[in-house]
Amino acid sequence: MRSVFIVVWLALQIGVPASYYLGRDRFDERFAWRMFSPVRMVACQTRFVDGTGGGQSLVRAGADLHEVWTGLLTRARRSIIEGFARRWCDARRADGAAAPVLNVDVTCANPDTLNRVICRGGSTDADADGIPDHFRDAAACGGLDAVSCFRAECGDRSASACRLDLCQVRPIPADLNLCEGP
Amino acid sequence: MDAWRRYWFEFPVLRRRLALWRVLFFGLLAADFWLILLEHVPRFGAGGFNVSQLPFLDRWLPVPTPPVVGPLYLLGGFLSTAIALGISPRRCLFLLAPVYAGVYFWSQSDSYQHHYLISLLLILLTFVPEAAWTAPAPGEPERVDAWAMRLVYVQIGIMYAWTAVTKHTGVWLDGTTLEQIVTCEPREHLRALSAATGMSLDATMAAASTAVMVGEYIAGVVYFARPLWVVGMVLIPLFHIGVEWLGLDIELFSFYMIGTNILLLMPEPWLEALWRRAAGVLAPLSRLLAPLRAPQALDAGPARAMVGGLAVLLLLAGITTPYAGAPLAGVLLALAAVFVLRPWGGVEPRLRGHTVGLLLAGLALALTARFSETAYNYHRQWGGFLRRQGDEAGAMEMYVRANAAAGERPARHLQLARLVARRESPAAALVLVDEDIRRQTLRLDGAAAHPTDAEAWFDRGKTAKALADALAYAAELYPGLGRQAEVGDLRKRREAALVAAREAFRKNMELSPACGQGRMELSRLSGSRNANEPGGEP
Repeated sequence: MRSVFIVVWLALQIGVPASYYLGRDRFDERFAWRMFSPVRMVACQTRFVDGTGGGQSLVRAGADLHEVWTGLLTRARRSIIEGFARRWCDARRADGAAAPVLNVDVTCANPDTLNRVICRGGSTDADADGIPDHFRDAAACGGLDAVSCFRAECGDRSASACRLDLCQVRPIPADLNLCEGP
Repeated sequence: MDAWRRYWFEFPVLRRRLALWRVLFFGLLAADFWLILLEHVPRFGAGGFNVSQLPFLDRWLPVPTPPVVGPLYLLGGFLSTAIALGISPRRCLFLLAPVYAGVYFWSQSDSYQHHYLISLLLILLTFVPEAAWTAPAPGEPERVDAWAMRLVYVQIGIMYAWTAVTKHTGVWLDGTTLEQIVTCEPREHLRALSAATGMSLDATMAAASTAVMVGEYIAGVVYFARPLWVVGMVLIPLFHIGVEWLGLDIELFSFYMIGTNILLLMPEPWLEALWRRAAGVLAPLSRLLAPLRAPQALDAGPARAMVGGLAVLLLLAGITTPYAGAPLAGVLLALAAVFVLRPWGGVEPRLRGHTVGLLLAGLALALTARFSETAYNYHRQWGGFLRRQGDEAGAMEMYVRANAAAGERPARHLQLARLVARRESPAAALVLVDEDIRRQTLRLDGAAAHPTDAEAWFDRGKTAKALADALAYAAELYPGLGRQAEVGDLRKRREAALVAAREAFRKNMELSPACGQGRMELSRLSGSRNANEPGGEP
């Protein structure tokens, strides 16, 4: 019996963190033992939109949540987003809305590309050559000139398209109706 | 199979090792419950919202609330103190593990990974035999086989190993993550180090990041094999000292782990020497407590009367704590004492000593509730949340309690005054503002900033700014109370306070040019001067 307990415990302690790395939700690190994580460093913009009846009004999640929950929303914690949605949708149904629609637009810096030159600097391009100025003196370019360094990271894309592709992630589809549940 | 059996079930634990670790680990846990976790209780169930760590349970779980979680934390601290004192550790753990892990899994409002680790360890420790927790009496075996302690070692090893595995990413290994994590002062130290070694700051960060990862791998490995323990005992605490130096907000975690690594990994001869040294220092106390520790025959009647008396005292200790759910706390403490002491059937020969020990734990609880800042911070934070939610009556109640718990230090009188002026009367509000001015002035006059201490100058600046805010609000109230003539004087005093605040923040910046927090405060002050505003409400 004790051996069974030990085996189950070990399986959980290996399997649960592993599921984080094999799964798709990078923003929920609770059981992953990921200390000093880059995910912890990125702040997300989380915007709830009431789409009931084709509307597009903003829902202020922070209005009645404690800061600890709004903090977790800005870290794109999916279970908290779903928990808030569950409450909001139930309240709308109780108010008589037959088919409430709640969408969420979550935009986060990509924690895996924080070290890319394109993601580390601003978008200033004083000489309008299509290459952000900070490429000129970026140590991460490792001696490459600005143009080669930019092309190595972004290929033929424009700086803004490259930034959008590489530096941002949207962990939840913006058109998902959270009131329909997972 | 034989190797498996030997590895798990022939794991002798030196009882003195566990006794020392028990005092340190559970002593810290008691402080954690009463001084840190309890302050955060108002967030539980705030706004009627909760998501548990296992959200599929939310449909059945009630929302945790301060009147329930607060008493559980008070009980948790009480049981931790009892274990640290060596009072029936296993029975206490049967209660403590569900309390700690239960609250942790009940709400994601507590998302610290080290609280998850402590939950796991407490669950495992309930399987450690009672005898392993105390030093042996003469003639008793020195060691006890404890498979659960092997699993504790393996659990800690797995945790460290995962922390290392997770660092195999470009953003960790090139130093990007570390660079973003470190606070200003350690960054300046690293900058100086890189200048001294001729390396770039980026290269220094990358080297430090790699060193952290290698260190975590070593930490993971040493916990699996006893011959490597001594390596871990030397290396791993250095890692945790480094983490503290980085200034990360991880509460007491570094202290738990420094103590745990040293005591669980220390070679036995060193541990025995440490024990002898500790026993020498504590010999007078030990002699004093000897009559209580000695087994004594006690009849069931007097035993029950003694435990009943203790339960009543603990009930009172709980009820008189200044937290929501205090009656429940009292009941839980009393029931826990009865459960731990079990004055039925055969009477425990050390019942007298255990009763005194639990009485001391109750006394520690009462004193901590009375004299620490926990009660103040608990009510201050709760009041702040209610105010932001628009529940002014609730906020006022909490601010009154915060002020009562604050003693003579500056508290929430100004915030309360703003609410009282709106809901009750300006005259009542002015009494509160005057009290705030008195307290802030006393603090400002009494605080002799050390001439070279940047932090002390920053604190002085904050106090002066708080005084200016109180004076500004008083100047708003005076005309309505027929004291227009005194407004000019108030404004002069406010100006003087603002001058003192600016001077203190400038001094802070001079003493700490790279990291002084005074810069932001100074720019805020300039902003509020331009806008002619008294300043924000903290």
